[in-house]
Amino acid sequence: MTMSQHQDDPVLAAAFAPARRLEPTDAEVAAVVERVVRRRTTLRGRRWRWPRVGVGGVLSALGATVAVAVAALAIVLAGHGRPPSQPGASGNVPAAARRLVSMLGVLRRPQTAADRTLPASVARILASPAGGGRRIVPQLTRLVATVANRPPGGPTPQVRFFLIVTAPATAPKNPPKPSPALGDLVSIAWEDSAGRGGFDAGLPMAWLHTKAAMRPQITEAGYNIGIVPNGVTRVRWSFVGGTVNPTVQHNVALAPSMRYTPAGNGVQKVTALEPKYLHGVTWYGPHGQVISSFGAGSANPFAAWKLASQINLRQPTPTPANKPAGIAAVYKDGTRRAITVTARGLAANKTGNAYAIWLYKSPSQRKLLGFVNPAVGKNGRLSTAGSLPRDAGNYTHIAITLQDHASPRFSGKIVLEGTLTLR
Amino acid sequence: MNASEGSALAGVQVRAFREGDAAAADWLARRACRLALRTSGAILRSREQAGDVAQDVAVDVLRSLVRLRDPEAFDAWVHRITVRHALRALGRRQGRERAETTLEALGGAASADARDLDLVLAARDALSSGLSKLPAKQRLALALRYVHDRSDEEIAAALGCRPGSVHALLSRGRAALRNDQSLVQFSRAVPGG
Repeated sequence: MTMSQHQDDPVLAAAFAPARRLEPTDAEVAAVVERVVRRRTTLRGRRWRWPRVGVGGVLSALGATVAVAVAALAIVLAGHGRPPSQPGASGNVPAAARRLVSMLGVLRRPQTAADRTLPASVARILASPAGGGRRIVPQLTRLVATVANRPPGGPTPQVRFFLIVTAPATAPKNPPKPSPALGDLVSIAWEDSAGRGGFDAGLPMAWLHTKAAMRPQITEAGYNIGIVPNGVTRVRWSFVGGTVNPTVQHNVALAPSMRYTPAGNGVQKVTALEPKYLHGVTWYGPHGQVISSFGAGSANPFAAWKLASQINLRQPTPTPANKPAGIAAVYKDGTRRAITVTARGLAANKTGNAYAIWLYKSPSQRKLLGFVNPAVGKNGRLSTAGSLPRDAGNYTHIAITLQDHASPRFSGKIVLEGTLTLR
Repeated sequence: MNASEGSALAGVQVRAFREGDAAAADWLARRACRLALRTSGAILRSREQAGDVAQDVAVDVLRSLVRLRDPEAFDAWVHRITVRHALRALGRRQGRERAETTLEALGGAASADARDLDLVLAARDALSSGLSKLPAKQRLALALRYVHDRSDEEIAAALGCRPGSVHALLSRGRAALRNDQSLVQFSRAVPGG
C-alpha cells in the first residue's frame, strides 16, 4: 500500500480506499450535462426586469391578490371532509398507469436523480422492432437495487437494476409482446459498470398476481430478480439445488443465481439456482401469511432427487486470461440419475458450432450426452441439464467440447473437463 | 496524475469551457462528479445518495463556472461546493433514514478469489459504523484528508474555517475512529495496519 503526502494513518487510509476508487458512471455525467444544457436553453434570451407600475397597476395587483385568496379559501372549504388522494399518484403519472402505481409502492415515491440514470440505449432498443416498439414512461422509472457482482470472475463490480414501465406503441407494425391490448408492461432493466445491460420481456398489470409474475428472471449479471406487488414482504424460491429467500425491497425480490458454500480445504461448493431449476415459489405477507404460492411441497416433481456428487470442471491446459470454469452436479432418485452442468467464461457460439457434453474415458471410449441448447452467448455462460445413462459408471470423465459439425463425432477440442463421480 | 497536474489541467479545461468547448464541459462535469462522489461516498452510506449529491454538485459547478476567478482553483472550489451539499444531505439523513439501502451485502456469495472485494466491503462496514458517530464536519475533514489527500490549509478553505480548527477536527476524528471496535477489527485485516 502506498502512503500519500498528508496521510499518516495506514488503517484509515485503507478504510477510505474504496471511496478513492469511486467513479461516476457515464449516465451520471450525461445527466449532469443534460441538466445544465436544458436550463441554459430554457433561460436563453430571458432577462428579468422590474415592471414599471403606476397607481392603477398597484390597485389591480391588490385586487388580483384578494381574488386569489378568496378562491383558495373556497377550494379549501369545498374540499374539506373528502378522503385524501393517493400519495404520489399525482398529475404527472399517466392516467392509464394509475392502477399500476397503486399496486407497486416504489412508483409512489418521488423520482430521484439516480432514477433518471437509466441508460438511453435501453429506451432505444425497446423502441426498435426487436424490443416490440414500446416506449418507456419516464416518470415511472425507479432504481430499485444496486448490487456488487460477487461471483468469482465476474467482470464488473456493480450492477444496477431499474424497474421500468413501458407503454405499447400506438400503431405497431410488429406486434408488441405479449399484446398491445394488455396495456402497460412493467419490466426490469439492468446495467453494469461496464455499460452492458438488458431488460426482460415485461409483465402486464393484470398478471402481477399470477404465476407468470412469481417466476424470477435470471439476468446476465448473475442474479435472479422478480417483481412483487405491494403486501409481499418475504419470498421463497425453491430450486432443485436448494431454497432461496431473496431480499425483498422496492417491489423486487433479488438473489444471486449461484450459491457458494465452503466445502473444506479451501474448496467452494457451487450450486446453480436458476429459473430453469425452479419448482416452487411462495409469497408471504407482513404477518407471515401465505399470499400466493405454486409448486411447493408434494407437487414438486424433483422432491425425490438428492444431490449425489458435484464435479468441478476445469480446462485441460489452463490459460491465465478469461479462464473458463464450470460445475456439474449429479442427482439421484433410486436408480435414475440426472446431471446439471453450469459453466462460465466460455467463448460465445458462432454460426456452425455448438458445445457438446460427453462422458469420456479415452478418445475411443466416449458417449455424447447432448448438444447444449440454448447456445452460449456473449456473456459466456452455459447452463444445461439432462438424464445420465445407466452405463455412466463405465466412464471416468465428463467433458465439454466445442463441435464444428452436427454429427456426434468427437471433435477433441475439450474446453472443460472433470472427473466423473456418481456417488 | 498528481494534484498539481490535475489543477493545471482543470484550469485549461475551465478556459476552454468558457470559450464554448463542449468536450471541456464533459471533462469538467466528470471531474466534478468524481471529486464530489468520492467525498460523499466516504461519508454517506448509499452509493445512490452519493451519486445524487455528486450530480447536484457538478450541476452547480457547471452553472456557476463563470464566477470562478482562478481556473486553477477548480478542485478546491468543487470541494467547497461538495461540503455545502454534503452537509445538507447529512442534515436530511438526521431527520429520516432513507428507505433505499444498497444490497451490496446480498446473498453471502463469498468466493475464494474475492478477498479484495471482501476487504472493500469490510472497509465500508467498518467506516460506516465509525463515521456515523462523528459530527458532520469531522467526517468531511477526514474524507478530504484520506480520500483526496488534502492539506490542513486546503481542508480549511473547503470547510470555511481556520487550519487550526482542521487540525483539531482531524485529531478528534482519528481518535474516535481508532476507538471504534469495528475499525479495530478491520485494522487487523489490513496489511501493515
